[in-house]
Amino acid sequence: MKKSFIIGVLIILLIGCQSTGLKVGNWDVGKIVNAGATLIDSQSTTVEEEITIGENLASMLLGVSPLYNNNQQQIYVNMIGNHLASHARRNELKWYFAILDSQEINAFAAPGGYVFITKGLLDMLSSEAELAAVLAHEIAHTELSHQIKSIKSGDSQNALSDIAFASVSAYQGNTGASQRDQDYAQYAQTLTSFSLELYTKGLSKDDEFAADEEAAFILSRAGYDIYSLASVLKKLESFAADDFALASLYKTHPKPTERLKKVSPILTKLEQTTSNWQTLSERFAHNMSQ
Amino acid sequence: MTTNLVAYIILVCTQLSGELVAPTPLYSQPSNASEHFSQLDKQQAVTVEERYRAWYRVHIENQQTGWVRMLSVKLHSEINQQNSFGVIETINAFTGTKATKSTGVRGFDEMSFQRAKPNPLALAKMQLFAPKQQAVNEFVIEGNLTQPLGEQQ
Repeated sequence: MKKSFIIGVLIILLIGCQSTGLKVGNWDVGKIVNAGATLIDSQSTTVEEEITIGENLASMLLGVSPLYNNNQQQIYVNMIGNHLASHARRNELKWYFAILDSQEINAFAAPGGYVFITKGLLDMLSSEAELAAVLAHEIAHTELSHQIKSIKSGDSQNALSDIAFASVSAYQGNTGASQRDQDYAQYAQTLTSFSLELYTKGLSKDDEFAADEEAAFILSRAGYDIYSLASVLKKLESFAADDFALASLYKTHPKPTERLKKVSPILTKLEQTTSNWQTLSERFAHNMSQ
Repeated sequence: MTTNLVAYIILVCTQLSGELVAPTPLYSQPSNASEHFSQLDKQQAVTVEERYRAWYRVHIENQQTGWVRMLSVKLHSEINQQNSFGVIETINAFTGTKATKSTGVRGFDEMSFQRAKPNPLALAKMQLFAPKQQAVNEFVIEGNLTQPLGEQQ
């Protein structure tokens, strides 16, 4: 109650300060700060606010790991992703996909239509349908607004409180030679807080199961083999729980065996109504050899 | 020709080994209605040669090959400890193509995010990979995938 009041006061301060037009390079710091503040202040988030937070978080993920240096494969992933996204229920978003140059086995989504797969995960796949299954799971998180819900959830309140304090400090900081550095530090702190919530703590188990279920429906509508989702989970299941490549995946997702158990009955049911079952192993192999 | 060769190499290299997690019949086809060759025991070692929907075609020690439900197999963990089942190295050896491993670091841990700085330039580059709708449509047709309802002719 007390904390909510403090956050509320900070939001009022922030909103009052938004006309300062605080910028770091080409980035509108005020925009991300205010979008973050709105998250805790209101029930609904506008698409523009979601995109603002998403592109900043995507920028942060790209600060953790660089883009994989293979334009052909990047474009291939975007082709698949955009086709899948056309079968999701977020037509108002423009979708972007990227392969991160990391040996870790994981995939991420930022709000607003940004999806990432690591090179490590890409390497363990053997068909376009399996790649589509990974991307569909991430698209589903955004379609179902899981990241925004997570940021708004109880566990995120401390981080959001930090963000609010940091932002007020940024807006009310002294002017002078060090202002730019101070602004940047506050901006980075804001993003770090969001990133830590989403990408190191992860979403709820229920959200992960829901994303698997929705991914199955997206795959079915898009014409991909729906069991490619189970196939990817079987591969993940084969890794030892302590494998370093999977450390963050296991920390942020339910165990693959648990996910398989939940999604299998859905796949069996969906099998009756699925008419197109493309696996496209050869097209995948061709693109992976480029 | 090269594409077919690469696809063949991928298929060969992605054969996985595993074991059964429960007793299961070995079917002649990927269907419960097909003939049973035999009853396999729990922990039977298998090599997975192919997947068809929810079924794996498996090869077992005594040279028998048949189909079992995917969920009755636990794959072994050695499949990808060293990147890509060796696919990349094999493709390069056979074709001279430039498939490469990731050189990036592992770890999306708390420390990585604490140290990271936003990278708007990489974000701008990522946005350049977005394809035009016409290119996506052609990609969908080429793969015999399903267009969304509004796009179907």
